Amino acid sequence: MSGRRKQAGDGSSGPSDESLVAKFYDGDEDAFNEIYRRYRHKLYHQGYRFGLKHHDAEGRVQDTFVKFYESQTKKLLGVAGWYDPQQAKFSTWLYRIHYHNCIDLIRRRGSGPVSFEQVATAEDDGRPSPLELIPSRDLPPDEILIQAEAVSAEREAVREAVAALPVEIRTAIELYYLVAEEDEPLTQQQIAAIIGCSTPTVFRLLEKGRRLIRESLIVKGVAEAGAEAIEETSPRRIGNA
Amino acid sequence: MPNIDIDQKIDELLESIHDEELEQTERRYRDETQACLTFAQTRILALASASASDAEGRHIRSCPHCAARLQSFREQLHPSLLKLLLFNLGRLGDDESRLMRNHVNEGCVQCRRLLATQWAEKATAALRTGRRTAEQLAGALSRAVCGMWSVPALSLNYESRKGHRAPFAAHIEQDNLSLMLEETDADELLVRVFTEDASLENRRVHIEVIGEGKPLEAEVELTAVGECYQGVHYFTAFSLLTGSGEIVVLAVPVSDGESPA
Repeated sequence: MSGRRKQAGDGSSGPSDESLVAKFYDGDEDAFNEIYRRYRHKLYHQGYRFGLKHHDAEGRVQDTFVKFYESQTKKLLGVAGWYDPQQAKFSTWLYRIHYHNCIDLIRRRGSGPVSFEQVATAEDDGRPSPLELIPSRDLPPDEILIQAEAVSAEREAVREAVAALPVEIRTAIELYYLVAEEDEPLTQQQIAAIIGCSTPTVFRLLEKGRRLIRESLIVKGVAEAGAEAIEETSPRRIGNA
Repeated sequence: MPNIDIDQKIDELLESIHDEELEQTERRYRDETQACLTFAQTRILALASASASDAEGRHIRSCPHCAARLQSFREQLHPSLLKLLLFNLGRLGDDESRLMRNHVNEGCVQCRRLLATQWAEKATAALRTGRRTAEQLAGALSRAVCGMWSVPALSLNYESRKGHRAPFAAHIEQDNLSLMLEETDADELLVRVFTEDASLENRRVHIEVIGEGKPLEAEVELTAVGECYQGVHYFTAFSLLTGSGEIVVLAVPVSDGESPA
């Protein structure tokens, strides 16, 4: 997919996550510490992206890693809750634990995603897109905005558009684009496993998200209204399903 | 601009946002230093707070990562009181029983002492006979407070005992109920239970203090004092209880007209 970050193998070095976990389960504390070093900021970023304040985001990071640390005991005792490489990639397992840690807290406070499937399949009913309610900025209407000062305005416009997305769609967009490993982005199957829905649902959520962001940028004058929406003509555009 | 360019632009912008934010987050964790406790060390502290050195205690108080980590271990390692009771009765599923047995056998002082309280004995008996259900006990325990603290050893030289160390004091809050503990000059432990929850006015609260000596227990009634409700009790001969180890304190509201469980 155009613009998606580079595939694995490009600059990644060191043992795989799965091999480190195996070593940790054999008693190697350094292997655990290496995994902690690799993922601590990514998990914090995931919590931040879900709207958690600093103290809560840090708390959830430590919760997730303590859960992972205690999974060693669970494996030793033969109790469910440890990482099995046959079931999923380690990153999927870890992000899923962290996702649920964050969402549980958000739901206790009265918000959070309700039904991914429902939002993914809901028909547009003619009501204005929520993103149309964002006030337009006074931006040049027909420039492509590739100058440096315009880039930060674009970025801000996209940030606002993402923040205004319905929570279910925003969750999928953020996991796909904004909570990804540098050289190996999360696939739609991984995202589906993390949030607990089907892969086609993730695909539909991403399509809707991209359409809403596109509409928002057009409304704000960051981009021009153009040809018909392209997702129907290139359904595989949203990458590696 | 055709949509295909817009979509490519959106991709690029989202990725640049990701890169910028991740770099900021990575910088945040650069303050984790050699002084930070490892997960293994933090786990030990969560099981037995008495093992923290002064330096470790100071560091935890000033480091958000270590403080959050210790809190997480405490919450995840120690089962709820209700789970402890159900474990005592053999009513937990296989997996949970195995985890619980491992935790208690690991030597968790707090959980073993809680299981040894009079309250736990009576609650277990009430569950066993069916006089109370797990749901009823869960309701009572939702307002309970318990904690474990280390109490420094007293000098055996009574003449120099006065001023030998700072008197023990602690404070814990859990949802509705708060506990304040304070050692007095008269070798007493003052326990103050208080709440702002008006529904607990005139309720009795069962208190137990478990250390190395004989457990101490009492009941206090929460009466209105200003804007909160408070009950106070002085336990005597505190020094005989503490030895050089830790104390566990449990406070559980009692249902009207009923015994502690």
